[in-house]
Amino acid sequence: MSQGGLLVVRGLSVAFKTQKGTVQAIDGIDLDLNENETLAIVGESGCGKSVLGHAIMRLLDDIAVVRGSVRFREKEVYEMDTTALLNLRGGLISLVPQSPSSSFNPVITIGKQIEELIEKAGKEKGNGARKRALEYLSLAGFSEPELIHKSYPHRLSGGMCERALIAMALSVEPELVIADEPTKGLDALSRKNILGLLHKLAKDASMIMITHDLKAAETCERLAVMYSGEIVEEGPTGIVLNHPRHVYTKGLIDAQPSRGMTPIKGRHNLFSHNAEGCRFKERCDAASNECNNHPMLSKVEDYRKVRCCHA
Amino acid sequence: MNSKSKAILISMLIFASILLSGYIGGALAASEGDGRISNLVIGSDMGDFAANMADFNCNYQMIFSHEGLIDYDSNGEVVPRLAESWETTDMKKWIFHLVKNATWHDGVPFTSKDVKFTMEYTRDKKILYGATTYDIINSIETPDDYTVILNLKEPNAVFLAKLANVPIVIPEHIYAKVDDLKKFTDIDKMFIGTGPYIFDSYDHAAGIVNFKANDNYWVGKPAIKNIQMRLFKNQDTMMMALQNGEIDLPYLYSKGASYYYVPKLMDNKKIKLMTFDSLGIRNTIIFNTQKKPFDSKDLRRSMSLAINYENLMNLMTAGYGSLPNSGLVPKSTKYYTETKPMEYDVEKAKTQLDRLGFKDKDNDGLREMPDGSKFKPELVVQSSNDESVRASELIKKDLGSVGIDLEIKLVDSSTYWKIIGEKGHEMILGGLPFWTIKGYKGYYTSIMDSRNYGWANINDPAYQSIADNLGATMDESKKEKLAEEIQNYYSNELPVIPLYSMDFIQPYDKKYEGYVTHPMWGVLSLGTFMNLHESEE
Amino acid sequence: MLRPNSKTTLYISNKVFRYAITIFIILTLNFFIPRMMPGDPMTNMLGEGARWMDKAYLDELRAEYGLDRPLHEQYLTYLSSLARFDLGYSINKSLKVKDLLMERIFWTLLLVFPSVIIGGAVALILGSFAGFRQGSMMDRLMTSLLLLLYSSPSFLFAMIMVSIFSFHLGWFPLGNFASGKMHGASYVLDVAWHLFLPIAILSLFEATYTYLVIRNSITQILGEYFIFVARAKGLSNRVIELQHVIRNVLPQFISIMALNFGFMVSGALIIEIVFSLNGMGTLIYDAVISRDYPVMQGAFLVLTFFLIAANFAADLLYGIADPRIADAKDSI
Ligand SMILES: Nc1ncnc2c1ncn2[C@@H]1O[C@H](COP(=O)(O)OP(=O)(O)OP(=O)(O)O)[C@@H](O)[C@H]1O
Ligand code: SF4
Ligand SMILES: [Mg+2]
Repeated sequence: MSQGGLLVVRGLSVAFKTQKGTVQAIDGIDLDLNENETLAIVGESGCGKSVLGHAIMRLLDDIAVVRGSVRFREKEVYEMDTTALLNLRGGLISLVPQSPSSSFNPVITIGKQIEELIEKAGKEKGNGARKRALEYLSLAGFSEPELIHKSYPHRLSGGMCERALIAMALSVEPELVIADEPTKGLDALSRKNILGLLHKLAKDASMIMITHDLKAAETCERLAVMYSGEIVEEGPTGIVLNHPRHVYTKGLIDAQPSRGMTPIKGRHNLFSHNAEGCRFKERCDAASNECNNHPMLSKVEDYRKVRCCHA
Repeated sequence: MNSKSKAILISMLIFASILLSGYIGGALAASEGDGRISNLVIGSDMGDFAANMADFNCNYQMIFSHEGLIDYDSNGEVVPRLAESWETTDMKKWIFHLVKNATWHDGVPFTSKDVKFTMEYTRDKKILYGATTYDIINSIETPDDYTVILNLKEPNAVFLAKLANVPIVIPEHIYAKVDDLKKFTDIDKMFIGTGPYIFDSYDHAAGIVNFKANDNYWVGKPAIKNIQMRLFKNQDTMMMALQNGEIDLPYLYSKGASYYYVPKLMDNKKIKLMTFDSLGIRNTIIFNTQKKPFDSKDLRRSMSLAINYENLMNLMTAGYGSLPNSGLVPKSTKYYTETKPMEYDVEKAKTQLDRLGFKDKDNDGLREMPDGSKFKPELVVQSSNDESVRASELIKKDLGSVGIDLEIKLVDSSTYWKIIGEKGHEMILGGLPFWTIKGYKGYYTSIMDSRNYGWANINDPAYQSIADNLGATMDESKKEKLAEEIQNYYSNELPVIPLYSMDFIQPYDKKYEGYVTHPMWGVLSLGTFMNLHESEE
Repeated sequence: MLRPNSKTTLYISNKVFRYAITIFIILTLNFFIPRMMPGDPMTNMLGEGARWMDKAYLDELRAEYGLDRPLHEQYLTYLSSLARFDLGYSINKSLKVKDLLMERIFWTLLLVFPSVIIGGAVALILGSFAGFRQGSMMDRLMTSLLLLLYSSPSFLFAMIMVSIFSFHLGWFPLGNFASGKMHGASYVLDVAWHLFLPIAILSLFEATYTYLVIRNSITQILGEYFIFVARAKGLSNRVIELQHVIRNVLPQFISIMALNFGFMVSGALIIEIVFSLNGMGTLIYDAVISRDYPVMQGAFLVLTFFLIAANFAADLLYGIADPRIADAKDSI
């Protein structure tokens, strides 16, 4: 575990106080990311992937209670002043947000929305910003970048929006890209294109790719599997996917279309967090008495960690 | 705040202070050495100043610049004006002797030709305020410059009252050239009359109409040199202006000030209040006497017994009211006859209603008609008249206490008059102002007799013959007897229930005194114009 | 995919045609609605004029004004006079409707136009302020104050203001547009001084509803995902509020303002009564009460044109403020 990594997350927890009760969206997350490293985070809907991504950028709203630490280039994100924070967001760290068609402001042109980021990040000004925006649009595969530049968002399809968002996120040459479900709702071909594009444009950056899609995850070097706010398995992607150690990871793999789409039984329950023991135990076939003790995320092999008493 | 917004704020403040300093206010000293008042500022509710002769509201002309052959005194009796005397032997041929020293504002002498011209022109051009009056004239002779002989189509005993109602004579030398009155918009010429005041100017933006004294006025020099009429659209600010000293007199056309302001005004040492007889009845219930079941005088009487007049008067008039007798005609009227006061007796009302068959047959606490159907008398009330709306609620409560389910129908004024015009009403709530007693054959015949306006829709031959005789009799003793008969008729038949009368309340700045009242124009009378002077104090 | 902006001419001619039909329908309604009210211009005279006139005379008058003719004939006359821009004479005031309207409209616009602008600006600024700081002391204070104002009887409120600022403090006059007998610059200042309080009060009235709409609309926009994305881009709150949020409020703001501008010529009845101003509000009110058909028709005609013009302008601005709407129109 290199202390000098790009991103160091320790014991990060986020709770939302809602009318129905407290939702512990993520709980005690530890994460390390080096320069130029790509990490995929997978898990069922609602397990806290996006919240983790947002928490890294300190983007959660006021009702969220955040504990733990996030250090980017050795600076504590949660101790930054406004200037540093605004510099971090959309400068050092770029988010490729999760729903492309509602991510752009409907009354401002795509070009303007990209340029405002470029100018804010201090990369270019005026015409230079425009040039750079056009350059990235064309890098994102638009054959007529000028047309896209002056278009309003509603004229673009979902896939086009996604590409424009990627162009925007990378136009500021961030050190870390957090891509939240970049392939959601796309057909197989477009998915491939988007992933290729993302990796191509982010080749000089680190990346955290949040996804449901194990195929997309395969394009990243490392993989973290999340369940109910916790990381339950982590390691080099190929090893984890080929030799999953956690029952849940196995379940995820079996739920893939290519593997017959066998769903994991039961549903995950966010309010079970306070319960003792393994959070997966209601759904786990291998559960035993031991599982009533909350398992730790422990090293099982080199570069590999699993949270299971039986691993 | 950054420097830019500071600059804006400062410039706004500068602008505001310029605005404030732009005010050159305050009336100048009002009086000069000759004892005349130099400027009287009147607040008025007369509304928009529409100076067109075709308008039927020629109030400004009638009050200030013009005058008729005869006028009313404070008690509502006719007195000479441009005609210094008149005579008739048969009430068909009327001879008027005119004053000899009257001139028009432009210096042209006033003569009998102008009178003849006025009457014919008004009739032919169908000028709203006078066409009907002059329609009963058959021919007009002017044997000399100061005599006018009117030959009526039929004898008419109330002709003088009719004439006094149209206090306006116009100059032939100007109007002979005017063919289409609507297109005659020269205000200066339009206001050329023989009266005490000459039109000076109208400032639309300021809402001020200025008049200046006609120093060649044949009666004498008016006591006020300049009159400013400031137009208000609400009484509240008019009373504020009075308290501020911005106006000397609040003028409320034919209604006087609301008693609501009295306590505040009495606190102000600069203000005095006078009251005067309105010569009318403030509020009445008028039955449609041809509409069943209100054609029954017994029903009308038993309903009238349920109303607590004393209470109603106290609540509506704050001590400025009085209760008219059942004969309606005000005490100050010539040939007034003492009739019974209105009676309030709930038990009697109930027994009478029972006897008439208006009983509560289904035990819902409300009386039904003798045939068993619902009895829901409908009272039509003008919604814009707050006082009437309030009064109608009290009446509903009173009638409810004897089991009558009164329905109040609130309507705007046009609907109100449409209903009355079509005789679609059962009962209406309305006042009988001064002029209603004068019309047709006098003594309220115009609003009673179905042959005329007939709000009460009376077609009883007995009544109509009294009315006809009244309109045709010159003999004073006969007239007196007929007047008595008609008042007794009202008292016995109750086509109209008089509710309460109320004196007009006239506040004024006490620096001037000598106001004289007029039944139509309140304190804006010739008496005021000639007599107003600074207070002794 | 991308739709070129080509059908503009067709769109405009389409629009013109539809406006023409709308105008015709409204003109027709302007004729029939006054006549559907109980009574006619003569009935009111039955009340006030009974003092002077015999009843039979009213029928002669009806004939004089052509009110006894069949309705369709009157309608044709009405249309042909309109075609000649002849609005006729007021029955109640016996003045040319055109002259009456021109004078009233001038003063009404002087009163209402600044009020609509100031009220709109105040509403936009305060509404945004409250929307951005929803739940704060300022927000709660302003919102309850404006809600109170919104629901309070306007006559009473205006009277209280007059009583405080004009009567007790004496800072402003009690009413009217001018003091009279002034000329040049001092006349202009005098008019401004007279208009200050009515415009201030009217602006407040104009602001209340708009304020509430703006504030709620801002709350709603702040919850949109693209605002979250803007924050993720590291844009400052100022930039987000001014560029991203306000831009999205504009379409709604424009449509409210268009409505306010459209109804501008209907005057401000309550303010006109309180300040004794001769404006369109009282003109229309009096005309309706006395069933003065020509004045009603004339006033409604002007109102119609203002409404349609405001609507048209709003349509254009709306397209600029919200590109989605411009596109939706293109496809018609
Ligand atoms: N602002 C919030 N207020 C309350 N609860 C929240 C909030 N944001 C997230 N949550 C809750 O936190 C949990 C984690 O949400 P998150 O969006 O991170 O899930 P996810 O793993 O990204 O799912 P998906 O794949 O559907 O995007 C969810 O159960 C969600 O309901
Ligand atoms: S700890 Fe127990 S319940 Fe949890 S995943 Fe492992 S075996 Fe299953
Ligand atoms: Mg998510």
